[in-house]
Parts: sequence; C-alpha cells; structure tokens
Amino acid sequence: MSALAASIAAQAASRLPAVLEHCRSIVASASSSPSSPSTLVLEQQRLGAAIQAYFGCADAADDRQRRASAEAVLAGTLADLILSECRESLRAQAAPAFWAVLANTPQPDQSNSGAIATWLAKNMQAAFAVLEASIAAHETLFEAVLDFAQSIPSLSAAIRAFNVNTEAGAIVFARPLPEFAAMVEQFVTLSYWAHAVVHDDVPNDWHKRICDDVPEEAIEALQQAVGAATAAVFSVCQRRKLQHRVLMPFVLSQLDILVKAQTEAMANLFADSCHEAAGQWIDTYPAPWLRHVLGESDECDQLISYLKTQWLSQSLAALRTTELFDIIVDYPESANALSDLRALLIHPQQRAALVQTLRASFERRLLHPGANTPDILTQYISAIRALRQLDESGVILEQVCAPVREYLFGREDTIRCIVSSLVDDAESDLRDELANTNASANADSDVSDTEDATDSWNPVPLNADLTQPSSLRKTSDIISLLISIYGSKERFVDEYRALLSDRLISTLSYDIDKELRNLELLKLRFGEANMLFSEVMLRDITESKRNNTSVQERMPESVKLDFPLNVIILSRLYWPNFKTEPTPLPKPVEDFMKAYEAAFEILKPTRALHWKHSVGIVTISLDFEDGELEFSVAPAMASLIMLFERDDPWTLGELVEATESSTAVVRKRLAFWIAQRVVIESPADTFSVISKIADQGVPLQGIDADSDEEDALHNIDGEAGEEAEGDEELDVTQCFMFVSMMLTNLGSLPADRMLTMMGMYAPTMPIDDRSFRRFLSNMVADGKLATSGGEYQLVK
Amino acid sequence: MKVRVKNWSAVAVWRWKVDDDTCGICRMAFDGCCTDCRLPGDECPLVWGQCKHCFHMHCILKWVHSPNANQLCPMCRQEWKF
Repeated sequence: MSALAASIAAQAASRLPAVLEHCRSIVASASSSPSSPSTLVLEQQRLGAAIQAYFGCADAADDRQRRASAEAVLAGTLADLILSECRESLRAQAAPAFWAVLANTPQPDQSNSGAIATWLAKNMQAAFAVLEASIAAHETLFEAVLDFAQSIPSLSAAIRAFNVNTEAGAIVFARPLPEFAAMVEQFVTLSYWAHAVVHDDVPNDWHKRICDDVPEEAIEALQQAVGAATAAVFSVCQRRKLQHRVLMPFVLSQLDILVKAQTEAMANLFADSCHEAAGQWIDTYPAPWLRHVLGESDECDQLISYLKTQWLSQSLAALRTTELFDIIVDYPESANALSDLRALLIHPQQRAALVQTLRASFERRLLHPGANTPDILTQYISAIRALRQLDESGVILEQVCAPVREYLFGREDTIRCIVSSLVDDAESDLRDELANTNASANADSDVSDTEDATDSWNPVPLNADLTQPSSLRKTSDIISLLISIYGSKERFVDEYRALLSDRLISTLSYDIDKELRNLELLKLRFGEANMLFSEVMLRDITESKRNNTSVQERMPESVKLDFPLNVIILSRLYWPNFKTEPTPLPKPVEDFMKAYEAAFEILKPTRALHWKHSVGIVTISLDFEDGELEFSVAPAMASLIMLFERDDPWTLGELVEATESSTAVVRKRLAFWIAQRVVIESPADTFSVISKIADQGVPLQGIDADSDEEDALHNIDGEAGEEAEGDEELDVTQCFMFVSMMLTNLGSLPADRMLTMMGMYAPTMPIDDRSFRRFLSNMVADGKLATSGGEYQLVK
Repeated sequence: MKVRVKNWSAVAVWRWKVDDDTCGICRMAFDGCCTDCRLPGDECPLVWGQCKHCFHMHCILKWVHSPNANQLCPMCRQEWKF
C-alpha cells in the first residue's frame, strides 16, 4: 500500500496547499491594502469579482449591510473554490488509484472458483487498502483546510458541511468498472462462505464449487485468507461509511438466497416447529455475519430483526400455505407445522391468499372423479380438525370447504360412506368421533351465541360470510358438520337403515352385540325417536334367535335337512322394502320352510309367516373332482347352481323355465357364476359347469373373486336395485304417472308415504325403497319434481 | 360337480292374521304398534272381541275404560267382550 498511497497523498498534498496558500495571500493582501484592488491578480474571475465587490463596499464603510453580504459572497465563493479543489483532487487521485488495482491485475478464469476466490481476496483487500489510504490523506488535508478556515467564521461554516467520506464514496464509485458489481457480489458471497464454512452451514453452491477447484488441504488456508480480506474490506467500508454504496445491494441479495435456501430446506418438514428453528438459524448464521459485514449498529440490528420477523417468517408462511393440503393430509402428525403457520399468519391478505390456495389445491387434487369418496371424506375430516387448530373462528374452514361440501353433496355414495364409516368395525376417525359423546349434544340444537360471548370476545374475521349461521362455523363436531352437508338427519337415518338391514341379513349368526353398541351411540347422536326402527330391527334378530330355537325343536323329522337352516323373522314395517321376485328353491328347502311356517303358527297362533325367498344368504361349497370352492351367495344364486347338479348343460331357455324368471334376470345371475369361472357359456346361450377347479384358469381369479364375492353378498337387495335399472324405462313412465297423480291430489309428500301408497294402488309394480328413491332423485334432477324438507312436490 | 349347502339363512316377515291393515282406534298399522308402544309384535298384541273386531290391545283397553265408551266396541257399538 504504501508506495502508491504515499504518492497519492503526496500529489494531493502538493496541489491543495498551493491553492490554499494562494487564497490566503489574496485575502491577506486584500485586507492589508484595501485601496488597491487593481493589484490583485486573480486566477478565477468569480473570486476576483467577489473580492472586488467586497472591497468595493469596504469604501463605503458606513454601509454595514452591504459589507456583510459582500463578505458572505466572498466566503461562499472561497469555500466553493476550496471544495472543488478537494473534489478534483479525489477524482484525479483516489478514484484512479482504486480502480487501477482492480483493473490492472488480470482476472482469472470465471470457471475456477478457487482462483477467483484467491484473486478477489487479494485484490479487493489491496484496492480497499489504497482507497483507505487516499481517503485518509485527503482527510488530513481537509483538516488543515478547516484549521485555516477557522480564521474566517463564515468560510468555516460553509466548509464544515463537507464530508470527506461521503464525497470520496460518491466520486470514487460514480464510474465503477463494469465488472465491479459482479466482483462485489462474488466477494460478499465468498465472505458468507468463509463465515459459514466454519459453522458447517453452507447453503450456497460456492462451497461445492470451491471444493471442486481447490485441494482439500488448501481450503482452510483459502478460508482464512478470504476471512482476513473480508474483515479488512468491511472495516474500511464501515469506517468510510461505504456499506450502502458498495455492499448493501449484494448483502441483501445474499440474504435473499439464504432465506430461499433455508425455506426450501424446511419444505415438507411438518413434524417439527420450523418457526423457532428458523429464528435460531438466523441467530446462529446470518446474524453474526451481518454484524461482521455491517458492524455493530442500529441499522444492522434492525436488519436482523426484519429478517427474523418478516423476511424469513413470510417466506416460511408462504411455503406452508402452499403446502397446506399436504399438512392436512398428515394431520395430526403435522400439528407443529400448523402452529407455525398460525403464528405466522399476521396479515389479513395472507388469510385470503391461504383460502384461495387451499381451495385451488382441494379442487385440483381432491374434487375430481378419480378420487374415492372415502378419501375425500377422510381429507375433509382432517381439514376440519387441522383448520380448527389454525383458526378457531372456523371462517377459513367454512370458506375452504364450501366447494368440498358441495361436491360431496353431489356424490351418490357419500351418505353410504359416512354411515358405513360410522358403524364399520375398522378403526376410523368417524367412529372415534361417534364414541366421543361430549360433542353430540349440539348435533341437534343450535349452540347459543351468548354462552361463549362473555369472557373472551373474539370478533369474527373480516372475510367471514355473515349470511351463514355462526353456530355451524363454531361447532367443532365433525359428525354434525358432515350431516349438515345434507341439511337434515333423515337421509342419514334412512341410509343407516339400509346399511343395517344389509349387515344383519348378511351375517350368518344372530350375534348383534356390536350393532347394539353402535345403536346406543347413534341414539345419542340422532335422538331415540329417529333410531326406533333400528331398535326394532335388532330386536327382531334377538327374537328370531329365540323363536328359531323353539321352532326348530318342533320340526318333524321328515323334513329335517342335512345343513342348518336358520330363519330371521322381520317386523316388515320397520325394515327397508325388499323386492321379492319369484325364486324357486330346492324342494327340500321349500318343504322345510312349509313345516317351519306351521311350527311358527303353533308358537304364535295369531301370526303368520311370509317368506322372502330371494332374501337371505347361503353358504355353499362346490365339490369338484380336484377340490372344492366355497361361496356365500343369495338364495337365487344357490338355486341356480344347484340346477347344474341335476342336469348339465342347460340352455338359456331351459333355465328361464326352470327358475320362472325373466331372461335378463337369469343372465345376470349366470354372469356371477361365469365371472367366478364356475360356469362356462359355450356355445352361445348354452351353459355348463366346469368339472375341475384346474379348468378355471388361474389369471384374474384373485382379482375377480374379491369384487364379485361382494356383489353376491350385496345381492340381497343390490340385485333388486340393479334389475330395477334394467326395467327402468317401463317403470319410469308408470311410476311417474302414479307419483304425479298423488302429488296433484295431495300437494307434497315424503318418499315413504308415496311408496306406501304405491304399494296400495299399484301392488304389482316391482319397486323397492332404494330404486324408488333413485327414481325420485332422477325426477328431481330432470326438473319434474322439486324437493324441500324431505317432501316432494310437482314442479309447476 | 356336487353342491353342498353348509348353511342357509332364510328371511321371512310376520303379519297378524287380520283382514284390516290398520287399527280402527289409533289408525296405526296392525303390523306396527299402537301410539303408546315402541316395539311391535308381542309387546303390542292384538285382541279380537266377540264381535270379531280387532284392535291393538292397548287401544281397546283404553277405549273401554274411558267414561264415554260404555264398554262398547267402537266399530259396531255392541258390548265389548274379549
């Protein structure tokens, strides 16, 4: 530094004092001989004019005012002259000296990070050392000028405003080298690298690049060199107040890179509280670095606190907002991420953005035909819980989930899914919720607004939709929320009835303990009156068990079967309507049933039994030459396959005759056995049974069997429903005629009532509860009927 | 192939052996129960009077014990006898 700096200092020193000397002599001579202004030789006319004016009015000694103003002009002009000399000196010496250091050493290849680092460390340090030296030299000079100016008060005031540091910064960096910005940027990045590599926190790719270019043993030395260079450069910048001019933009962009990297590193980490960790990270890494770069100052503290409370926080909040869908999927494991987000949501517009983003991701990821209804429900339930934690006012939940609720309302199997997850054996969220009886009280009644209004008043956020009742927003009861999708409990109750009926009939035992427990829970939820039918249904099962035992004891030996045939006797008004269809059963079974009927009437003389032949479940085993296959199927299926025992093959016509059913029905039943690969159709309309299991052919068996097994079980009334679809054309016209007549006469009616009346007026029409309801909803969809409060009416 | 039945669950419904569908007093279905009962069947039995009219037992008992009924069958106004 020394030689160059010394020469600059010498040059500056040589020029400025000359000027000052000159001025001093002008002033001295002017004041010593006021009467001879003509002897003055002026270098600059302006100064000359000022001096002339000054001395001109000095003649008129009595005019004090004029004299004073002329003195001020003179001082100002003198100050201008001195300051412009100073600036000129900085421009002519300090700036070129500084830039020469950087410009004269050839830069290394940009691809070699190690070389760049070394080069920057060396030359930046040198350049700033030169700068420091020349500013220091000018400072010394300027102090001399100030000393001189002390003698003229108005001159001293004008000069005092001059700040060497500011002027030097402005002049030196007014015309930087084109590559200077890139150099500083790299230098700042390097400084963070040197700072962070010590702490093993190296988010930028410099580390990797440097490690690629520099042998491992040299890294430490390089780090130390860079550390020393940055310390030197930053201290120059701090001393000469150059941080803003030189460093700040690059410090900020470096921070931006760090914040982005840190945010990225926190992506998908829902299990831990990242908000706190982020604060710690700032304290550990960027904060000391910032103090190192900017020095201990208020500004630096402000920047650190801004980084903590705004910059990284908002970046994290934005990240969590976009990840919210996944956070909900992971809930409750992601509870920490939610409390982070909760703490970070401070601006109203963040909430609005969150609602928008989450709605969009629900629509994109969930509300499409590819998603299973149970999955949508699970996510919805999870969302209810998670968003409650995020915002207990329930406004976010309400706004985000409105489309979900609408979509669920439109899905046909939603109710069935909700109800079955309420009562299924498998552990499910809803089941736990049902068992959680605390919440059940408000399923019915509106929560009164007054009771929680007293001690902690928490106003509803601005973006709340005030047209909605607040009770729904506040309730945290998931089942109530699900039920409210449909507006009333009736559809749930009906669906539960259908489901319970399926379950009771398809269980081969009379064991209903579990159903009883469910019933008790549901009673709490839906009220005893709504659950009466299922109480009767369950009692039917227990009664049947008792009656069955006594009836079986009274059965004559002659009709005894070689397998157990147990009977469930139902109270018909309390069960869903079963569609009965002619189902001829094997002779021994028919005989047994007749005898059973007689025995029952002995037991209950005033009552009669009516068989539902097509309903029930039969476990059969098909014995082949090489093994056996077991199936649980509807009685009609069993009877059909039994025909093949007697005769093989059958034509379609023969089967239709033997089963007294329609071609379509026989085909449908055969389709089950064909799918099971027990029956083969070959040639067309001729059916035969395989003789060996080996003939089944292995592939697809596993997949098909599962789903079809289910079909066979649900056949209890599922089949009836499906067949109704087959004959729908006929039904719809007829049915609508009846329905429209009823509604014309009676205004509006609930579905049950209409079905009962249909049973009276059109007993021949094969219609059951479910297909009738489907028919009604189709009519509503077609705009022929309108529904409100569970009652239907004609659209006028 | 041989079919072996292992288990057969059959389903039947019961009905009272009565011509009418509904009770003349409470207008509820016979196969359901009277307005005071919750469970049909044995818990809410039917009774036949000597006049052959049939009611829910609870309904007719209430009826014949009411002061204005004079122990008459509500359908045929004959004296009610079990």
